[in-house]
Amino acid sequence: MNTQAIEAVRRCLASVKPGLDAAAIAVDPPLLEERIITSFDVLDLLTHLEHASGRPIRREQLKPGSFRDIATIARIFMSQEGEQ
Amino acid sequence: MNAIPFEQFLADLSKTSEDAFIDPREFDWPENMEPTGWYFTPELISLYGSDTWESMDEAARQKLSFFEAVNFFSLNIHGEKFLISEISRRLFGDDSSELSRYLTHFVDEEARHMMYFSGFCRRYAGKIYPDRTLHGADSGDEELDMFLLFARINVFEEIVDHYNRIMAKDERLEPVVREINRIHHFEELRHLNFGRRFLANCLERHVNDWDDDRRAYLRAHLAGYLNLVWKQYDNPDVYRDAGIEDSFDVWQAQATSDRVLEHRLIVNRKRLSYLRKLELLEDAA
Repeated sequence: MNTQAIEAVRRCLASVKPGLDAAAIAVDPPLLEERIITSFDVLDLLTHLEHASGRPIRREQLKPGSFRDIATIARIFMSQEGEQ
Repeated sequence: MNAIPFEQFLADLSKTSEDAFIDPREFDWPENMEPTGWYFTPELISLYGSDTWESMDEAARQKLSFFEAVNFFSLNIHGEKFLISEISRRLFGDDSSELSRYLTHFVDEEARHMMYFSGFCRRYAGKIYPDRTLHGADSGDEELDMFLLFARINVFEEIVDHYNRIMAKDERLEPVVREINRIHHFEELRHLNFGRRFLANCLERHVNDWDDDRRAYLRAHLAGYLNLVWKQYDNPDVYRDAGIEDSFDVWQAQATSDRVLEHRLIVNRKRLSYLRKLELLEDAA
């Protein structure tokens, strides 16, 4: 697992939800299901992810499953795999 | 107390939609857009009054106004796509044939609005800004989901109409932009009228059945949605396309700007106070 990518996602989450202790969230709890974030937070989160990764977000990346947990977000938006 | 029964109200709306049909094929598109000119009312531009705005000359502000218009039309396209898809799957599944009859016009009008918005974006900007919203799953409570759908549609359209009304009359703007805003405002008046009446009618029927939990869920959901709608008016891609350096930082500053929050509050008070009266949206206080 790419720890740099994971930490970058945590920083993005903390920026979107300033009251959230993102460092304390493990990589696998379901973020939307457990309402750690809501679908309303995704717009801001995407902008932060795009800025952090330096790559534009693609439409096909935008589905609820892409935001399942921190590990998934890191894989889809921050890693080389997400560029496929 | 509403003077006209709801079914008659729906039948009247349908008749007006049938009589006042506007054909997008008759729209007069100019060959090109002038690089200088206003495409968005300056006072409504998201950065108006900010340090960035103050540092820009008139040509830079006009360039920003063009991309703000493209963003405004793009977010309308995405809002209408969602609306068409959600309403369409509910058509003719209800007890009221007048409701489905009117909603068919509603969907048809929204589809035609997309022709104007996309016509402008594709002709003159060569693109539509992508949709970055994620629609959450339904709650599974059909009645609540139907109510929320129309509440969300109305919140979205009330804010859009605030902009349409002003820009339709703003003689500083390029005529094609004024006309798109005018047409949209003209047809949306019926949709807004319908939305307000539909929500009030729905509440009237169910007000005693809905417990505090359900009302709390509704209020929280609508407050979150309202915030999301407003966020779509601040787009870092717009700032980048307008040639603004540090577009991400400029975008971030918008989120905590008193100027931005005050503008939203004024519009919310003006356009959404009826939702507060229905005890659905405290943010519209």
